[in-house]
Formats: sequence, C-alpha cells, structure tokens
Amino acid sequence: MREEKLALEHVTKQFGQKTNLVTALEDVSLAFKAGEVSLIIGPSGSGKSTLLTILGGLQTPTDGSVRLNGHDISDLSTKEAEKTRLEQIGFVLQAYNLVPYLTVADQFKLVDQVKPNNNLSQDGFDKIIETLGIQKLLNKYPGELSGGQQQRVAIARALYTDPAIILADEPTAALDTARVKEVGQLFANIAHDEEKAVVIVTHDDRLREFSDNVYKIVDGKLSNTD
Amino acid sequence: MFLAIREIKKEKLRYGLILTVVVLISYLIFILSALALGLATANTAAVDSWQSKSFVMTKDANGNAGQSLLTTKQVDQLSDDKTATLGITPVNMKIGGKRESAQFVGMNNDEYIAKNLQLTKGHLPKAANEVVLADSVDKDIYGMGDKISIGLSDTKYKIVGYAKNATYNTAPVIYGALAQWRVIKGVSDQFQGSVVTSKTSQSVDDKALKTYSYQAFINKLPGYTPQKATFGLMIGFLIVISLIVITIFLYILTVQKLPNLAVLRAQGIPNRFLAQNTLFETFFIIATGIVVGAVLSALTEFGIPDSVPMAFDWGLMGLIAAGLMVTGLLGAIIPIRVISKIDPVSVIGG
Ligand SMILES: Nc1ncnc2c1ncn2[C@@H]1O[C@H](COP(=O)(O)OP(=O)(O)O)[C@@H](O)[C@H]1O
Ligand SMILES: [Mg+2]
Repeated sequence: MREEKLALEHVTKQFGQKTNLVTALEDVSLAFKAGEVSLIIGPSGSGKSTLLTILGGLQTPTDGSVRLNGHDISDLSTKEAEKTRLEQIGFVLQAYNLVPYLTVADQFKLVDQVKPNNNLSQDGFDKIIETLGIQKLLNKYPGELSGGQQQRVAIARALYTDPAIILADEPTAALDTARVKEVGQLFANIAHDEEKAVVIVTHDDRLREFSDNVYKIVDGKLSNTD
Repeated sequence: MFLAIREIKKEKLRYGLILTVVVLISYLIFILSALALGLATANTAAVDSWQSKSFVMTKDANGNAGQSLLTTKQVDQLSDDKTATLGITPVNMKIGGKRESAQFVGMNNDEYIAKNLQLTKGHLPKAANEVVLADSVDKDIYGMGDKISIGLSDTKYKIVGYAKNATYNTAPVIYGALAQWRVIKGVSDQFQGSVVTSKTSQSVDDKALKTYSYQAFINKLPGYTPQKATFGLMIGFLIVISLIVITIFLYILTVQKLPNLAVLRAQGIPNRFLAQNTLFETFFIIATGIVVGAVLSALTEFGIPDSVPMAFDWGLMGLIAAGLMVTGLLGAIIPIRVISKIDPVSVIGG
C-alpha cells in the first residue's frame, strides 16, 4: 500500500455569516498518496480552489482537520505554514506563477535565495527542463513565452524544491488540447516516476485519462466517480 | 536584493522615471542649501572673522549696527582691554564712474579686530585716508593703490590691502580708521562709533544701550533671519515632497505586482524577503538619486557666476542626504505594509 501524504478529514469551510453564509466545502474527507495523480473535477464555484488552498495550508477549515505526513496542520502558525509550503508543496496555479521581471533561469535562482538546500541537483534540474522542453527558454522572460511554455516553466518551478506534493489549480485552463495531453502526461510521469502526490483541481475533463483517482465535487460536496 | 536588482534592470523605464524625479529633487535641495549657505556666509563672514562674543549698541538701533550711534562717553565707559570699538555703516563706494554698495567698518588699529584681521595682500590702514577692501572685490576695478570715494566724505581713500572673509550683510567690507566713520556717515563729533564689541560677554547699566550675543547680532542682520527661514522651509517642503513622491511610486509599483507577490507568498517565500527587497529598492533609488544630484550640484557650482553666492559644505550635504534617505525609507513603509497584508488565497480561485 502506498504512503498517505495528505488527507482531509470531515473538512467544512464556510464564508460569511447568517444570511450571507456560504458553505464552500461540506464534510469533505479525502486522502492523497505518493505516486498517484488525483483529479478533482467540478464546475465553477463548486469549491475546488477552496479545497486546494486548504490542502496547501493557505487557509484553515471551519471544521475538520488536514493531515500532512500524518501530522495535523490545521492549526499551524503563519510562519510554520509558510515553511511547510516552501519545503513540502509545489503549487501550479492558473496564472501569475512566474515573476515577470525574472528570466526563466532566475525563477529557479529565486528559490535558491530562500531555500538554499534540498532543491533539485543540477542533474535533476537538467532532466526536468529537458522533459518539459524548456532548455532553450532559460534566458527568456515570461512575457516572451507562450501560455503553454509558461505553464511548463511553472511546473518546473513547482518541482524545483523537490516537494512531496504537487497542488495544481486549473493548470490547463490556458492550453489547447495537444498541450493539455502533454501536461497531463507530465503530471502522470511526475507522480509515477518521482513518487509525488499530485492533486489537480479542474473543470477540464481532458485530464481524466492521466489520473489514478477522479473525484467529483459539486456545491462543496464530494463524490468518488471511480 | 536579488529581486530588486533584477526588477530595476528589467523595468528600466519605470525605475528611470522615479530615479529622475529623485535626482531632480535632491539636486534642487542641494542647490538650495548651497545658495542658503552662500547667502548666510555672505551675511556673516566678516562678523565670524572677528570672533567676538558680544556687541553693545544703542537700544534704538534694534540690533542693526548701521543704525547705532554711541557717544564718546558711552564708548569710554564700555571700553576695556578686551573690547574694540567699531564704526559700521552701509555706504556707496565710487571709483571712476562706478558705484557699489559696501559696508564701512571703522576700527582702532590698537584693538583686537584690527590686530586679528587677516589680509591676503597689503597692510592695515596706517593713515586716515588708507583703507583695506574685501578680497572678494573685482581687483580690475579696485586695484592696489587706487583711490575711491566713500559715503559722504570728501576724502579720496587709497586701497592699501585686501582682507579675507570680509563680507557683511552680503556687501563687501571697507576697513578703515574709526575716526573716518563719522565723516563717511556724516554725523556730528559727539559720536564715537556704532558698536563696542568684546571677546567676552559685556553687561551694561545704561538704559539706552543693549548687549547682543554673537548669535543675536547675526540674527539681527537685516534680512538674515527671514532668508534663513525661507530657505529652511523650501528645503523642508522638498524633503516632504520627496517622501510623498517615493511613497506614491513605490505604492503603485507594489500594487501592480500584487498578484505575483501573492503567488510568491503562496509558494512560501517569506514576507521578510519581499519586504527587504522593497527596502533595498528604495535605498538604491534614493542613494543613486543623491549621488547623481550631488554630481549635478558640483557641476553647477563650476558653471555658476561668482556673483551668485553658493557655498558647498560637505557636512551639511551629508546631513541633508541622510535626511532624504531616512524620509525615503519611510516611504517604503506603506508598500511594505501592503506586502505584509497580502492574502495568497486572493489569487487562487476564479
Ligand atoms: N473568501 C471568500 N469569501 C466568501 N466566499 C468565498 C470565498 N472564497 C470562496 N468563496 C465562495 O465559495 C464557493 C467556492 O469557491 P471556489 O472554491 O473558488 O470555487 P471554484 O474554484 O470551484 O470555482 C463560491 O461560491 C465562492 O463564491
Ligand atoms: Mg477555482
């Protein structure tokens, strides 16, 4: 049996009060294992981003708990949560993943500035940028890249800290079908070859074929479709 | 530093603009302070050179030596071996067809003002018709040995020397014999001089007289205090303006970067790292602005005619630069607060 990396237990997240009360997540329990791609599919407003930010320790659940490597992280201080994100989690977001005034190469050097140790070795880095096909883009600025190229650099950036977990929010929103397949395959390879827990929240059905587990989320409630 | 340097390099236009503004402001501040100091020096140089501690004048003169008339009796009562009697009056000096405003300072050769006078050339006035002029006068007009008319006196005075630091209330000083003061000013012979100055403090019993300290005397020089206040206000306003400009620029730049900064925070880049970068960016902009502004000021000093009194004092410039730096770094407070309040969740979603 594979090692559990991240888990939600009876997580509920509510925003606002009384008449304005929004329940973004309702009693969600889920576990993510190393070496697997988990896809959470749902329409807009169903609570996907909320789920992802709670998984990443960016906000705390109203109810329930979050476990990272078997430890409850629901009550971490801001600083501890920051450190956890930096060391354990790689984010791939829909936009703004890259710093516009840094070249592709500098996006990685920035990471070295704040986390000097346990990042990818030169060999590991070379391998990743080759797999992602971004070797020739190292001296370019994000503004000079296509949407697909930017997303591949963002994935490389997320992998650079060698995190145990990859959290991706709508990573294929800006991509055409050919690119979606490439990126999907990439996430699958990362999970399977590097033993990472990959969690993707999306409304993009095209990613299904690359996933080990698919969950559906509607109005903050979860259902397993497989 | 890592982010700041790269950002400035990438966004040259943006940072070039803010840098230009900071350069112009610091240049303006430096020039204004040099002008203020130049003007102050032109007001006080002669008085400073006397190294007096106190000045006694008539009360009615209200601190203006040119208005003070001391009787022989008053001068005798005030005089001792530490004092010097001066006859100070604003005059016109004439040579050929030329006329120029000046300040006549009559003195006794056996008192300390005359004894301490530093000449760049020539000797002290020995005869009644001999005078020493400020070294700053145009020597092509006021040459050694030339004869000038002064004030109401019919005598032609011969220039026998030039004195260092001899400007009084921005006019060149003519040092001559105390006895000539009465003639030049056209007052009756019951008056002996206008000021009794001393190397120590003086106290007076006479109700018609008043003692001024060195600082009080300087502050009473006609126009001196308002000039100083005007320049001080201008410089103060400029520093405040630079604070506002820098705050606005940094704030706009930061707000523009918010989504990117939020993602960096989501990725676990510490708040402190981002704040330090903003601080370094501010430091870089202001330091560069100050250096370029100082270079421009130095170039201006070379280019500006001597008739405009400008004095650069590196200590004062350093102080102003430090003031600019402190206010500039204060300008980083608001952007840094904005950064610290970023909610990473705000960029994730949609
Ligand atoms: N900070 C918030 N304050 C109030 N309501 C929020 C907040 N964040 C999310 N929501 C609400 O929670 C629901 C789920 O949002 P979200 O997780 O962004 O959905 P998705 O990513 O699936 O589109 C939506 O109804 C949204 O309006
Ligand atoms: Mg979303």
